[in-house]
Amino acid sequence: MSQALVLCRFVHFSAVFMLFGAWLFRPLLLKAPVPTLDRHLARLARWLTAIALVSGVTWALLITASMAGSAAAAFDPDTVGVVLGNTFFGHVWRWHLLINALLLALLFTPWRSNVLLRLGLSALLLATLAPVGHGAMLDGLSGQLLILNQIVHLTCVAAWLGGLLLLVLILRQPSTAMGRILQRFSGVGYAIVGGLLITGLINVRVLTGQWWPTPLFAGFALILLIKALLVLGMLALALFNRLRIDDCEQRMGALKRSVVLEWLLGMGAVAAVSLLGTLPPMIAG
Amino acid sequence: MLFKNVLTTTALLASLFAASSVFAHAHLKSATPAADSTVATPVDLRLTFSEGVEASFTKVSLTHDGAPVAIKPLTTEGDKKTLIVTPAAPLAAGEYKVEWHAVSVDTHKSEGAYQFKVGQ
Repeated sequence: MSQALVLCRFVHFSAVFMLFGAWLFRPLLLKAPVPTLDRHLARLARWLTAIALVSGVTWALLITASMAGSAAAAFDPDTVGVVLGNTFFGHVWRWHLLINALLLALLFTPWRSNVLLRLGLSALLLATLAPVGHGAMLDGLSGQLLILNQIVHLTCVAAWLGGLLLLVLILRQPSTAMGRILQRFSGVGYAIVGGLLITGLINVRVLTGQWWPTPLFAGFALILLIKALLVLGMLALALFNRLRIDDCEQRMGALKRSVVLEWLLGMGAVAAVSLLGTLPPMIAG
Repeated sequence: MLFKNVLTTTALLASLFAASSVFAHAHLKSATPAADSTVATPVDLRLTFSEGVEASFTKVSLTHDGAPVAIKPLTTEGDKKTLIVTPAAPLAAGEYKVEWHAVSVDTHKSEGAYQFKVGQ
């Protein structure tokens, strides 16, 4: 059950991140239409939105089973109804699923070419991920600020990972202006990494008085450590590519491999977070 | 650049590790009647948690000298943090045990138990 929830969280978070990030960076990186790329991206987006919807519904069913304490409850419409109607998770999640369904419908209508509509809906989809889970911990103003902080955090993560995916797609048919594209990506990248750090630090200040989880190599802290190392690896690769941006056209193969690797490290970090969210509490204080 | 990277790394590590204590789930902060206390017949039992709990999925069993006591549906108060357990009939004198299985608003589960006594 809990393994299924980990997998479901991972798939859902990844799909939503990719959608938002790739759509955000498409107009930023390439000013002119690129028919082949746009066609690939449109097809990918439909799949990602469908995957997000399926994993989102599965997530709700798994949470129902977990809350009710029996797997059978996931298939009992009344219990699912109570979760969606009477719990904090349900109140957020029914909006989240509605937005997801609207987005999927949008992608099959002529309005799909409207960048703002797509980006807006995917941003809402991303934002409604923030209150689910630990964002719900605090109440009142500090709780709302924490959720806002989480929205910024998720936006940065999604932009980074989705942007990397778009870079991979662009690098499959590299144009001569690769240097300029990378310059633009890296320009926004500074803001993203900055946002990531600041929101992370705010999380520290608001939620803890602590800087380090106490049993360092126990399951929970160990996974955090693995995640931190994955993100460090991403930063190192990003820095490496940034420093060598000028001769990028001479080493296209290496650039592509490093971007794919950076993206894979990011997915590993998302997987670690998906696992962390379901681990039992370590601190009861 | 090196300084910036070191700074970045340090801050990132800090923010990542900070996520840990976010996983402190609902635990019982206080209860009325208090654990191990002796009280006059209470109208209801109030369990105050560290974070909000979902009344629909939280379960409480109340036993009197080992025999189950009927209770009304659970309700919550004050940002869902206080769980109210109302016995179906006034509690007679004796030893009571409260066992709770909470589902917090962040969908996580926790559980615990305590006892109290209703005096003559």
